[in-house]
Amino acid sequence: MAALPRRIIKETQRLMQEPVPGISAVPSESNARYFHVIVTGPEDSPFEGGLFKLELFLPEDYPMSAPKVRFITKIYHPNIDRLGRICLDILKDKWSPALQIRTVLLSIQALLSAPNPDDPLANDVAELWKVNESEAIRNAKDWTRRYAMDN
Amino acid sequence: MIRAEFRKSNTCERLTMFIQRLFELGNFFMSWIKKHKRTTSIMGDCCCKNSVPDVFTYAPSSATQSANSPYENRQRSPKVDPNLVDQLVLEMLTVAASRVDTDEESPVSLVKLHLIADKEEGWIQMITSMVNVIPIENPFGPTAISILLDACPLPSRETVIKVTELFGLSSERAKQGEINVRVDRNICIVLGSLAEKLVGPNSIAMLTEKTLDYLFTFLVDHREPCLCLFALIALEKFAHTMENKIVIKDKLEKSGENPLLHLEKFADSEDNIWRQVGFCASWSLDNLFVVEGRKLSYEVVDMKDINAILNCQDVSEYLQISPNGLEARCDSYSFESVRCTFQVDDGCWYYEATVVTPGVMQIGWATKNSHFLSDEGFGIGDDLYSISYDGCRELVWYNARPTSITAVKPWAPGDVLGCLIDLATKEIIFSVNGQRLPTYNEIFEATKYGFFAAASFMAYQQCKFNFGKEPFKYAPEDRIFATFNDFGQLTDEQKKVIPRRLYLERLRHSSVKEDSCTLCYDDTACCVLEPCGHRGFCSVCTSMLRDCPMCRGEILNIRREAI
Repeated sequence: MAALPRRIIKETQRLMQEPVPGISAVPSESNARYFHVIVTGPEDSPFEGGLFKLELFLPEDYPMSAPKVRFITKIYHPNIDRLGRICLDILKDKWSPALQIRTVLLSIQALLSAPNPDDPLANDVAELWKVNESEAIRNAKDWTRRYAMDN
Repeated sequence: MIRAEFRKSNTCERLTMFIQRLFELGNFFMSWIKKHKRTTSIMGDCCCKNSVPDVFTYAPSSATQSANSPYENRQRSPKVDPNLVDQLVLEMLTVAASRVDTDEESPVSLVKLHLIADKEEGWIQMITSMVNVIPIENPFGPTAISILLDACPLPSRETVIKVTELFGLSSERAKQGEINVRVDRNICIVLGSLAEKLVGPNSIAMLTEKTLDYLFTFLVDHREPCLCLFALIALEKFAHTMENKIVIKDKLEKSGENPLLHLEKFADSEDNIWRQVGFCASWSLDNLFVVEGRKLSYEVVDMKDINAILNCQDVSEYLQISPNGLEARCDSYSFESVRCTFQVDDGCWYYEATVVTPGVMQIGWATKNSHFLSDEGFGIGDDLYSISYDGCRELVWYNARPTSITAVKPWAPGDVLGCLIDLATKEIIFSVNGQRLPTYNEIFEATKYGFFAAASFMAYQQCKFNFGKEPFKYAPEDRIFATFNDFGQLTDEQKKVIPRRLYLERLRHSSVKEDSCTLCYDDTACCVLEPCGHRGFCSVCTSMLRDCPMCRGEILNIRREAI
């Protein structure tokens, strides 16, 4: 543990200068390891039109271990549970220190475009997604309207 | 260590696991409750005597149903008996403060609170209960509010606004004759914790003119120091959102003399609560609500004769350090840690820590091998390389294992913890107000030298350190010892406790060399991974790799290139 690593500073700078389209990630005023993230619901997905808030935290041994990310806005998605935790391999065993905050956020955006009910975190949601996809999508749109559009 | 079930990640994982089990294994759940009932009753009050049916009533009725009709379900859910919620909150406090064994399961009261708070009305009820029943004298109270709110699913915007309205906040409320300090203190803590978690539009929605007036009134008329303190902390947390920060700053500047300028004078107060107010006011003025024309504290503080301080290069993110480097405070829900600047390798050394607050802090000794995993709830005493005493729960911590201490009372504000390390006799001796605790030596099996004074803080805790600049209150009499201040040396630059924002500003202006390591951007890239042949990593980073960051290939050999 020492001062904030140069890598975090430089990654942050680049995120600010060349933001990822559809994603804003701003470090907290009081903690440079904590980011307030807003992801726009991808077009042609049930999350379209929604703005989803996430929190991203860079643990002490970042980049040797993955950032911790969770959704703060409620979302109806088979790979995201009700506490907002995300089932995404690169956030777990497939993390590599060559990945960055930027790549993580892109992956999360892609996960919204392509939910994967075969690798579920929210069991009930995944179940419905498999047996009755249209209803699941309707729920997802409902939740998007209710929780992700009121800002 | 912060109890396993209160640690963020574990809480979530355990809870989800638990809820899944709840859905899938009804019978198993029954037996689990029974088992737990037994263990809790051994420890005294059983917190779940009549509780089994309640949990079932308030749990979502079934997985598929809730997925099909989330809102209907929401409306149908019965209101939980407010007395039950009050009782659960109190139980949770007792459980949190008294039990220390790292149980396999979360306490029932906590699990039930989670289930209740999962519904928006239930969440509001939990807030109301916390505000009403958490006693002002419970040292764990403020921390518990922070941690509980952090561990529960976050509310929607409507719910947050509803709660804010429910409190009926206004300057009139703050001014009224008979004020209920407990309730208003708890409201301030709830507001602050929510503002911290809901940075952005929801935090802005909460900080209405009335909310701001309410908090501001406590800041201006000083009739109750603890309200002044928690109102100020709430404002600091609201200021995490830029728009709010501007509004608050504006209000501070327009109110005649900026109230913070008056409050910061209390930083040296002998009264332990006013002292905290002063600390926070001064920190805000240096970091958040900067006043033009006011010199920053580090520029004016007298550092003469101070030769050892808390190291502001060796501290976790949220800990606040006083301008003279001898006092620290945490207002975050994470478990924040710091080490001293002075390293001890041989001989006998002593320092004292005066606790300003009565809550959970783990104070003692650590080497550089001890990591500050603030977000996971690990701090000093939670690994092989550090040992600490927590006088709130009366525990000595080593390797994340607690040993109960019964010889002394729980610490109170103003109490002095003495920390002695004798490397010749391999002894670590803590004392509280001069009364000695048993001697510890296990830590010397793993480590022989390289110790630093070190401490970890839970939310809303503050402590003042004496590394030998002042006379000690309870100096050990049975042996000769040295102090860091007599032997320490700091350059003028090292003595500066620069506000974090200025420090980050400096870092931003530093540049990255072209041949830098692609992982840390710090050292020179000099290693080639074999057999895959990927390069661009320094030796420090390479030593921490298990497989190649680029292709995930196995690393069989590391070849160093000539630079």
